[in-house]
Amino acid sequence: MENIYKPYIAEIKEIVRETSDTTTFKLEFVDEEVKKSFDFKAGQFGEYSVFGVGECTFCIASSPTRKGYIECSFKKVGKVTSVLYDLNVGDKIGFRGPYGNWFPIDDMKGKNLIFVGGGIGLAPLRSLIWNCLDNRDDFKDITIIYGARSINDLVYKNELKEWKERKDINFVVTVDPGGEDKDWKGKVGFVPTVLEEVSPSKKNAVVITCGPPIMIKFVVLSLVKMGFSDEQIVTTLEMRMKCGLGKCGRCNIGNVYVCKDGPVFTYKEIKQFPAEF
Amino acid sequence: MADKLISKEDLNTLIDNLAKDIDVFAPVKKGDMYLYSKISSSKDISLNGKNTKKPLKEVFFGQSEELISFKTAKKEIEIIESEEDGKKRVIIGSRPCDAAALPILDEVFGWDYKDSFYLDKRERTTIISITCNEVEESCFCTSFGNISPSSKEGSDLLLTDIGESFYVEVVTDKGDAIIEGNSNLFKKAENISQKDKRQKEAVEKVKRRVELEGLKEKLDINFEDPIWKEISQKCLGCAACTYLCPTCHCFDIQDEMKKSTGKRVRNWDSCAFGHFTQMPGHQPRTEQFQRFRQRVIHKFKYYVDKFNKTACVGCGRCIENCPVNMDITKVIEKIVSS
Ligand SMILES: Cc1cc2nc3c(=O)[nH]c(=O)nc-3n(C[C@H](O)[C@H](O)[C@H](O)COP(=O)(O)OP(=O)(O)OC[C@H]3O[C@@H](n4cnc5c(N)ncnc54)[C@H](O)[C@@H]3O)c2cc1C
Ligand code: SF4
Ligand code: SF4
Ligand code: FES
Repeated sequence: MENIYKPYIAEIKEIVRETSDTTTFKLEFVDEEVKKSFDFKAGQFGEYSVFGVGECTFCIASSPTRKGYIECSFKKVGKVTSVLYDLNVGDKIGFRGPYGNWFPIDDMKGKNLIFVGGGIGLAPLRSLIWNCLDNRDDFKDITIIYGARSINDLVYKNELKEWKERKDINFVVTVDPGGEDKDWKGKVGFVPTVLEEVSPSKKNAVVITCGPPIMIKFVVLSLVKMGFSDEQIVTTLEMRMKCGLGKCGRCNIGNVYVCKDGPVFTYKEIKQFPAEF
Repeated sequence: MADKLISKEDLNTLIDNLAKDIDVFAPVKKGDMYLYSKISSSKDISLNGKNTKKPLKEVFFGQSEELISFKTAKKEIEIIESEEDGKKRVIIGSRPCDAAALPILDEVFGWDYKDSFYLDKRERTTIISITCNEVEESCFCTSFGNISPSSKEGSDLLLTDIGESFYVEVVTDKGDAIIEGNSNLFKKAENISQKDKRQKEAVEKVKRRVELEGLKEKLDINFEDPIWKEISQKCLGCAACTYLCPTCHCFDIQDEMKKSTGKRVRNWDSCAFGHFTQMPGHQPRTEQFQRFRQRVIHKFKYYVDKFNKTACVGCGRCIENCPVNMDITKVIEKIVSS
């Protein structure tokens, strides 16, 4: 029987410092076979590890349409992320995955897509956004609303510029009040407020949102106010995880294992959970 | 697969014979407690002692278990897979409740992804349980329809002490194989009435009972009931109840490093601890009552919804070992009558 806890070894090929505490790694699997055959869907995650330090959970932040590598973006918050943060190009880490379910991209075809992201919560959305942009004709209007506490906290700055310039996306970027400087050309305001300002139509639309739990909460309230139905709202949940395999029990909430049955849920599904969020 | 008899002397011979070739685990007295341990001789075994401190799960799902090991040299990493030794194993003298906990654990380790560490050990282990000679005040196994001091759930053979001999009931092919391989030690079954009498006596010794009727229906709707705060008030969050529970299976994964070699291990963990769900800047279970509630609802509702099995076998360990005398049967009673 296969050892489900055995990671692949991946080499760090590129490092982008996103903010003062957030980094993106471009990773390639060392094993050529794995590199060729590795496949995943936008929304899935993995267990990344520093050998001798431990594992931690991040989404796969790159798009499944871009083959041969994966990317992850993470914030330095604790034991493993602090060590990961200091690694260099050429260093090797472990990766187990892909795990969990994914965004319902097939059901999204032919629809207007509204992405609402906050802070590093843009990471899983980015995977899906590029997935959709690489198949642009499959989708109708694409709106992206992204915010962070301050200009310095915005991630993927180069891509934000690119999205701004593209004619086939409505891209709105915002920072929390006080997070702007005098040259700031984007909006100033909390994500839910800006969302209500932009006021995208609920007609034939799907909203995909991810960010800090408090942001998600208020985004959902705004969406409901704007008339979106619970099924139209899709998000990805964070529950502490260890195995990612539906074994260790850590991510259990109600009848689901977030690592297996999630992390992607509609707001309708989340409403069925016991009030633990 | 007919029933058999084995004399007490022959059982010792069987154990000694088996221990020569394969790993034999049995309850062994260590200080003032009993623990399932690997034995090399029938002399070490205690079949009449108190219930073991730690449950049988430990033999399949170690308290601390290596998942991989690795060597690092400069930028290179070599992963060394943790090989199971592949040896056949026998457990002799497990309590029926502990054996009944195994099919419950099988569900979680076997659904979807297959946990090779657990399943491999399960596969190569034969379980010979024994009708309980003594029961504890805390035992309430008979509250569950399929479990009792002489139930066969999860066992391959069931022994019942009928004086000079053990009456042997064959439950599975795996159990039968033990008899086949040592047929000279087993005799044709007789004295079935004596066996029935001993089993009935054992069942009657279990005095504690809890009414489970209506519990699941309550748990389906009482998540926000103030009763959770009330019934969990004295819980310290020490996690003794979950560590010692034969069906609790939560674990943590940690790395251990010595110079350039290291290993990744899994360790028993518990939903009773706050750090269990602590995330950067976010904690869904900030208070002990929420953790206590998770333990109870997981056992008696979530597990039932997912796997159609209750994750409790009434072994009484959590009652016996809680430092503040939390009693799961009283907790259930209070919920049902709330
Ligand atoms: C599905 C999923 C996807 C995710 N995707 C991403 C992603 O793309 N990018 C990203 O950056 N993060 C992501 N996360 C979060 C990420 O998994 C964690 O930030 C990461 O595991 C932290 O690992 P660590 O070892 O560095 O932190 P740890 O050392 O484990 O600590 C994590 C945090 O918990 C706190 N903590 C730990 N133990 C205790 C304790 N005993 N008491 C109180 N507080 C404690 C620490 O203060 C710290 O803030 C995701 C999580 C999930 C579940
Ligand atoms: S053993 Fe008792 S005090 Fe400790 S966590 Fe369990 S119920 Fe709480
Ligand atoms: S919950 Fe208590 S009585 Fe039930 S199986 Fe676990 S330790 Fe035994
Ligand atoms: S992370 Fe282990 S069960 Fe979900």
